[in-house]
Amino acid sequence: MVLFRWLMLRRLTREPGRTLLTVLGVALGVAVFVAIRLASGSALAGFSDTVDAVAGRANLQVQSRSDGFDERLYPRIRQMPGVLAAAPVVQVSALARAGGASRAAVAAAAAADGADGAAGGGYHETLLILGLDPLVEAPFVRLDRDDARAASDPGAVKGAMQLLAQPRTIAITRTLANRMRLGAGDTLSVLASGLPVPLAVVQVLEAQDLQQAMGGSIAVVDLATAQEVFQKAGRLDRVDLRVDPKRRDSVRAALQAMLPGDVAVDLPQGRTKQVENMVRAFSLNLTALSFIAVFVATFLVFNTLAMAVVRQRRDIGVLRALGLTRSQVARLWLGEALAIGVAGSALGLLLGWVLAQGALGAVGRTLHDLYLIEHTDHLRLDAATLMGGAAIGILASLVSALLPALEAAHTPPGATLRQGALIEAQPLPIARLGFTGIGALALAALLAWWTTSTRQALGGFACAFFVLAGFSLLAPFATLAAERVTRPLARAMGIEVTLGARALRETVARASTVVAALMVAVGMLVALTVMVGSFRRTVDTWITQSLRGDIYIEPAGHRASAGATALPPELIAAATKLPGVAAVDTYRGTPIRYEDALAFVVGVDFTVQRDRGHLAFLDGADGAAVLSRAIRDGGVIVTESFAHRHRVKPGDQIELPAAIGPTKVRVEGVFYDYSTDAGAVLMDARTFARLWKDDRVESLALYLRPGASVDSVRSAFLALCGPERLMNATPNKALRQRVLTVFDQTFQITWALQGIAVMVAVLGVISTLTALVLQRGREIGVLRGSGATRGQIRRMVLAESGLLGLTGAALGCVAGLVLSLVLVQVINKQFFGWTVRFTLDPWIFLQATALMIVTSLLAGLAPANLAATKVAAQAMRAE
Amino acid sequence: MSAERRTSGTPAAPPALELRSVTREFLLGSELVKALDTVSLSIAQGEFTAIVGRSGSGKSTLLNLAAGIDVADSGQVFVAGRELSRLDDDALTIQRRERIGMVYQFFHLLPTLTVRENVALPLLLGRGDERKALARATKLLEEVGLSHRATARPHTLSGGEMQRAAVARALVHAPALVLADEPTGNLDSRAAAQIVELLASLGARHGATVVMVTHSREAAQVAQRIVEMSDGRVIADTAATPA
Ligand SMILES: Nc1ncnc2c1ncn2[C@@H]1O[C@H](COP(=O)(O)OP(=O)(O)OP(=O)(O)O)[C@@H](O)[C@H]1O
Ligand SMILES: [Mg+2]
Repeated sequence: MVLFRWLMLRRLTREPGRTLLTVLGVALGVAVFVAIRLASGSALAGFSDTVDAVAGRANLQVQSRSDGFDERLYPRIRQMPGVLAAAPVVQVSALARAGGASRAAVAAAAAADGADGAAGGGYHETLLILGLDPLVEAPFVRLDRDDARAASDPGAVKGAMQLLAQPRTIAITRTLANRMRLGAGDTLSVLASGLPVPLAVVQVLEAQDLQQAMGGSIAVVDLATAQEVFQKAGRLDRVDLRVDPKRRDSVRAALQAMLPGDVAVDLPQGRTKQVENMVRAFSLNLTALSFIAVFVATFLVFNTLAMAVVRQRRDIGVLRALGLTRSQVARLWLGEALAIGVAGSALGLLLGWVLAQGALGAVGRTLHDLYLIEHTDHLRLDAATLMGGAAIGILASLVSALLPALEAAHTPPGATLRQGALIEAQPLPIARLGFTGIGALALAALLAWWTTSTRQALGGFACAFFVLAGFSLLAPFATLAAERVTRPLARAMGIEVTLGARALRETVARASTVVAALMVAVGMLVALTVMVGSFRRTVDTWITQSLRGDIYIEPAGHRASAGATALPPELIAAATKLPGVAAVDTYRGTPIRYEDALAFVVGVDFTVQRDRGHLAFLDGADGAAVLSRAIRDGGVIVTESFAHRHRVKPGDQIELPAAIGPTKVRVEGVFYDYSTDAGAVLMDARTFARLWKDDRVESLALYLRPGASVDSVRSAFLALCGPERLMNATPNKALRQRVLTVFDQTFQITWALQGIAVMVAVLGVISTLTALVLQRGREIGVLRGSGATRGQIRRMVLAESGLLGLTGAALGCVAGLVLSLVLVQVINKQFFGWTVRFTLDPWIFLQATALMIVTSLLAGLAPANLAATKVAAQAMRAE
Repeated sequence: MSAERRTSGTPAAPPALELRSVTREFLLGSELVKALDTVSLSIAQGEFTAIVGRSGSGKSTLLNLAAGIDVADSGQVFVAGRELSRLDDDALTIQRRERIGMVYQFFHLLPTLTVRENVALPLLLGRGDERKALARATKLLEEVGLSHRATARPHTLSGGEMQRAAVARALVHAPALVLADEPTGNLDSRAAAQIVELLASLGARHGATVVMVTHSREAAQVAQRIVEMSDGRVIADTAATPA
């Protein structure tokens, strides 16, 4: 311990910059991992809390797997033997704001809202609204203050009666009341299909569970009110049950047998489990992304330690001669890595916690958009994630220290005794490393093949890892090759450049770690640029082709309320007759469970789609023909992700859990789509209405006549809606822009990681060159002594840094190309079932190479200066 | 040459250092160089021996073999009766740590440690107590006359001072054998004389056997015995006439 303090800790604190950087690298890796896990974990936990809170004491739930079921099932459920109590529920998310719906109130809120007023109208709260029947609520104890006082709390009962007594009343949680500054007697407006509906607050709910779920954003209305306001007349989302615990399984089986296929009987926790399964793939992907950061950190620690070993070689030799055993040396270096790992992890946990606060919103929103999960803004620390993060930080540090520690331990005690001898490790087994590298690449190819044929998504990440590992092992070979290839050029540039290049060849072991680090940085830069570029181009093409219509129209709050949205048929009819409108496409969707996974069924107007749409089909199938067949036979088309996940191809029959019962439909075509990786089944609106007994419309797309002005049609449509109804009418171009903006935001974190990787590599250049310069003090002194100018010495060192940059960049470009293929063809395809059209912009190679050479030269400036001044002077004095 | 007249070591004690027909060869390019050519040598405990000879005659090679840093191609090396080829790297290292002190031409003090810490280092390699080690280092620094520079960093010392610190480090753990390779090579004659004087007096006080390689005739004169080498062979071995 004393030795460790004296020899290692002291050096760490004497080089605070380098140490801090290494620690920071580890911290960032850990932080990204922790943040992503915490954020998705919290989103899930929030969801599970909400499920618990709204389930109350229910121990069995009958619930719709799509958009509600017929309320006439309710009495039959209640009468089932073994059912002790039953409560019908309508559950809807909706935007809300304090105050009534008067013009003045709306205008004031809109003004406060700023530019986006027309769409937002000041509706900043997303509420989970439960429509309940107060008369049958008592056994479920979800509205009451707490269990003990449940029966005797007059407030709850009174409030419940009021809900029933007066139409359009609402009860809100204490938390929400405080946040919105509302009390009993105030008014609160919710958006239903874009129309503000004022509701009178009659009670503030004190129940503890409700305050925590969804950050307290929960409200209760009478069942009839919910059905009326959210156009769910005659439909229920759920029936909560209390059944005799001993007979639960048999009751469940009996109920399931009685109910139609799109209605499931689950345990309340069951829903959480299902959601967990859905979210697992999503969070796995994010976690894999966070491992990029960890990988970079590993390189950073490796680089720092390897450099330190080189610089300390002489001292290690002295210590060995004085009597330090090999294992002691190894332990000292591993100890240093441990110290870095512990410090980095501690900092990383802190940083991760902060990051998670930021990520929570984004992750929650994504989960909501992809999987319809209500989102939470309450961050939960969970011990397993924190411990996992710390373990990863420490392990990554230790693993990356393994080689440097071994290298240090093998320093011969005599290394110091022969003055002037090149203090170099054993000669590098370049050929063997090269063959291992090629082996790793072959393994990567094998993995890629295995991944695509067995669809094991994880294999893609292993494949990417082996690509990087393989090219790292080729670094020494590449360094020698680069020196060889540039030799004539070096000769032309003068003796000092040749000397520099040769020095690099002599110290290939050290040079190649830097080359490998540069390679990883450039490789990831190139790969991500190519991947994101290809992806962006593909998505752009797709939006341009498949954005429905010239103006997309949805009621404000549609994203929150989803299926609980319905536009009046008169409005749609009127829209069709607007001057300048050529056709109107309608949209209605519902989530389903297909082969135990989430999927979406969507009804659109196939006739409009056939005549005016641009859906692109796989294998270049003729869209018009496919859609005509689908219209004629009631067939469907499915997204590529659906086809991939469920192994479906055109001509197959699939069985959909429709509202009228399981129904077989024919798949007429598979089309490109990047909106959700869950997969979707598209059918004609009429087919949807028949299968789901639902002809409501959630959103519209207007196709304009040639020459019609987007702005004037948009204004005309909004005028049609009247001043009350809040609608978003977005021109195609703006929508496309919005999608691309979201796309770019999604990849921002990737660029941040990228920046870190490049920084790490450049630091590697600086520290290696410094070490090389210090070590060659004598040689530099001799050069100066025999007449080399300062400028020549400087150029010699710069030649080394330039060559390092060039080699790293060249190798990195190749690695990046391979890696981008893996990302695009293996990972994207297997993970999301998305075909990304591989597009390559050769400019990136030039840019990356230029960037690396320039930054390497810049990084070489300080060591070059050191060589030209201090080192040379010292060496000459010593002679 | 017998040397059993000195203080420590009973007549039965094994020699501090013994070489039996030791050969060490190096491949220099395509040429095989015999750095040591069947050298036999026995140095008794407590003896102060100087090894002299022209550059390249094999002096450093001999010391390295004794320290267990290098391995003989043939023949045997004994330190205090223990044959080194039987010991593995760890055992050799521990032997260096516990029984051998080393002084080099280029001092080799660790730049990140203070002078006193450098001196205390050998005691801590075997997990010694830090306070005791530092106290012992302070005492040694007194003996070499460096107390006033105890907390300085090595690079602020003069060459003579650095070598005195190195001598203190070589003796701090009371080794039985001190190996010094041209300890005066980098010093002027006054500083050189001081160092040799220190090695002799401290070696005697601590009962250590000292083997010192040197190019300097004056330095060799202080020793009790002078071994001269040439082309890897011992060509002369004489008892010095006390100055
Ligand atoms: N590690 C080595 N590799 C190759 N040759 C070596 C090595 N060590 C010593 N030699 C060779 O062995 C011979 C003896 O070297 P040694 O260092 O023992 O001489 P020396 O007497 O100490 O010389 P000097 O007085 O110059 O220090 C020399 O010819 C030297 O070149
Ligand atoms: Mg020598």
